[in-house]
Amino acid sequence: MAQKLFISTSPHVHCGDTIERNMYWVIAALMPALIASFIVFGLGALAVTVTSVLSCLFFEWFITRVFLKRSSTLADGSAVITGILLAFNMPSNIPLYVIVMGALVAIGIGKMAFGGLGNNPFNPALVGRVFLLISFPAVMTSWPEPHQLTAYTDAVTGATPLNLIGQIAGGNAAALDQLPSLGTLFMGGVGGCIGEVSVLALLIGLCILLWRKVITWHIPVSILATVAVLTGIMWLINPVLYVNPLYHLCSGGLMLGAIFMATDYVTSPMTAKGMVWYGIGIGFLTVIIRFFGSYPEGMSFAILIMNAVTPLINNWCKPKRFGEVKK
Amino acid sequence: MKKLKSNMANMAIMLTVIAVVAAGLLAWVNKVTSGPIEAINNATIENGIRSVILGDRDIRFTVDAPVEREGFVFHSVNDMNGNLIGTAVESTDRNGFGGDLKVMVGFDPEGVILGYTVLEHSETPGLGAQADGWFRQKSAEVSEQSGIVNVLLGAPAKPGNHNIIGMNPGDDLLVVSKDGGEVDAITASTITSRAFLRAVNSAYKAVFGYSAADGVSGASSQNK
Amino acid sequence: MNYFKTITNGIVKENPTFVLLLGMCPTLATTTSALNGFGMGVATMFVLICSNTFISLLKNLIPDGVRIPCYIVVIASFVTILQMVMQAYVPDLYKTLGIFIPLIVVNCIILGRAEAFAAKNNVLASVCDGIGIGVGFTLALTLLGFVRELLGNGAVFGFRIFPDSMHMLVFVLAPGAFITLGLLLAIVNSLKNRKA
Repeated sequence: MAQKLFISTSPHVHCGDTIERNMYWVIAALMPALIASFIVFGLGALAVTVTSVLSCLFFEWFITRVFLKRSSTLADGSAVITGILLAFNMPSNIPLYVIVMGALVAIGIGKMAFGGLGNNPFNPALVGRVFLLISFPAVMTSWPEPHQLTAYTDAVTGATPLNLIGQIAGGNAAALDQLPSLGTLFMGGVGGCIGEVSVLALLIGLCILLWRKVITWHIPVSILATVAVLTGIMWLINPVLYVNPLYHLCSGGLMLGAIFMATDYVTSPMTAKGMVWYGIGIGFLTVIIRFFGSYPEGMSFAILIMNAVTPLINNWCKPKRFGEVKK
Repeated sequence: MKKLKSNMANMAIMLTVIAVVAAGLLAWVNKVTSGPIEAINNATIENGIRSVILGDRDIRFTVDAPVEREGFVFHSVNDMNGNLIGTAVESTDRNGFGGDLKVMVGFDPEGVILGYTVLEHSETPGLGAQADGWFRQKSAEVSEQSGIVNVLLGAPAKPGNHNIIGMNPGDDLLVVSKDGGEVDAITASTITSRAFLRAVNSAYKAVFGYSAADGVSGASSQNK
Repeated sequence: MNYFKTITNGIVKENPTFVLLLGMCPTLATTTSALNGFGMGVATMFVLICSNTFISLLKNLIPDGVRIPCYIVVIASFVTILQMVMQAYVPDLYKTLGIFIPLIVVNCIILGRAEAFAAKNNVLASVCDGIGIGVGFTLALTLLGFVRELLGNGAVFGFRIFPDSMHMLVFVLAPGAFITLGLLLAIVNSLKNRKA
């Protein structure tokens, strides 16, 4: 890469920003959600996260050293992030075999097959998750009830808020009574994937990322605003069948996806304008899949589809050249 | 031999000759195979009816011409003396997880379910798409499996009751257990299970006029 | 012309799936199991050999100006014959392969070989080419079906090998077809590079 960079004559001041530093701040920002998941799901969340991170690290090391015979890229922290995000996208009762397969696909097919960090068109953790979702739909969509701290694969499972929202839209008014309160949803304490349990913890993570300028506000805000507007319109049209938009914002993988997955540097657009369009696209697709799709959650599919559109967006939202006069 | 020139006469003649020869050949093959093809097509429908009515029993039977009424298709099956053995009903529920779910259910004259088959569906592969096998399985025996295997490969399915064959929708509540009924839903596919059971109940209702699920509120209130 | 070489050429050096990348639609769509892949391969091979033979026989009778329509009529006739025969005598396989049998007509392997080989060579060589390409296609489809069935259904030619909980359903669905084909192509190319 180095010889492709043309640098003007000195003096230069290094801003101190490196891949590693950004990656470590992302990991730090993921910590509140991780802690929240340990509190809610206990041992299961711990086992899944540790397995996922270790297998991602192993496959990263194995592929770079044994297949590609390059120097190892473990230290840049990206494999750790992929591992944590992959674990965050799984229920806490998932068998180890499934996690290892997911890590292999995330690192091997999602990232290394395209040439490693910086060259992957799709978010590796999401490639792993979608692979697992389609491969093992039963285990990937039966979520354990919260607060079974010592249970693992034997945990009791139950419906998630999104399942219930889907049932309400299907005409089952009884499901409305089972819907947890917004406060519970916000603080954490409902069934679901490991990382999406507490909206509060995810928002703390967002603040850390914004504070350290790891990401800008454009992508998360445009995704959340689009979802809020679209679900709000549906709610206004028919408040019996469609729930309050706040439920949509706080349930499922929306927050996790909007804050940590969609904002991945490699797979999202480069300009602010592009980021806003990208976010609107993700929000729109998520709502479409939630209302009309055959899977209850559409966040991961929406992000992957918009990942694929990113090069087009980049091409379309080119920044104005310095000094260029608009005709 | 020299290659024919591409003038209009040559082109027209050769294309016509080839087309005529091909058509003749096809007509002959069609004549040879049309008999077996028709036999197989009849056998497919007959096998469908046979499997939902007779199961493993081996009886000679006749099928009346199908009757279509209110969106249901009825096939009455008689034994060789003209006595009714059962009725196979094609029934569709519009609210499957992915759209229409079409099943054929066989009832004996008392209304006991003899068998069923899923004719058309657009359910999620691996989840709702299991409906064709799920509701006829006896509850799976929980195999002895050590804790390590559970952690590695996942816990075995919990035993449950999801075999509807032999049940009578007139007496038994064919509603998923989550809604207070007697049938366990397909793992992680409650919506498909509800749609399937609605289709079975409405098929029963179309023949016998009522079903036990009528009185249950909630999910099954959509029965029409 | 070395007839044996013509046959092996179609299997290895000009393998329609792994080297020429022709006929991708049936390759991806019908290989959900080893048996389906094999059935599709054999069906295509039958049409390929018949059409190669007849086009090679008729090559001097067919004026250049109408050669493509003539080839299509010949190919479509054989496909229709195959379809009717399969429907009558192997209905189960016909039901699984369904729409892809009539689509053999537009499989670019067949028209491609007619144009590139049968129209320029004698009958015996054309038959050998049909056998070679056909076997190459059948082998590739069977291999693809084998991998997808093994990973997606835990079975090989219908025999169970893995327990239910280890099936990766994605491999029998459309995305799995692309992933498997991509991985197999990568393996084939890396073997070729090593040899070169």
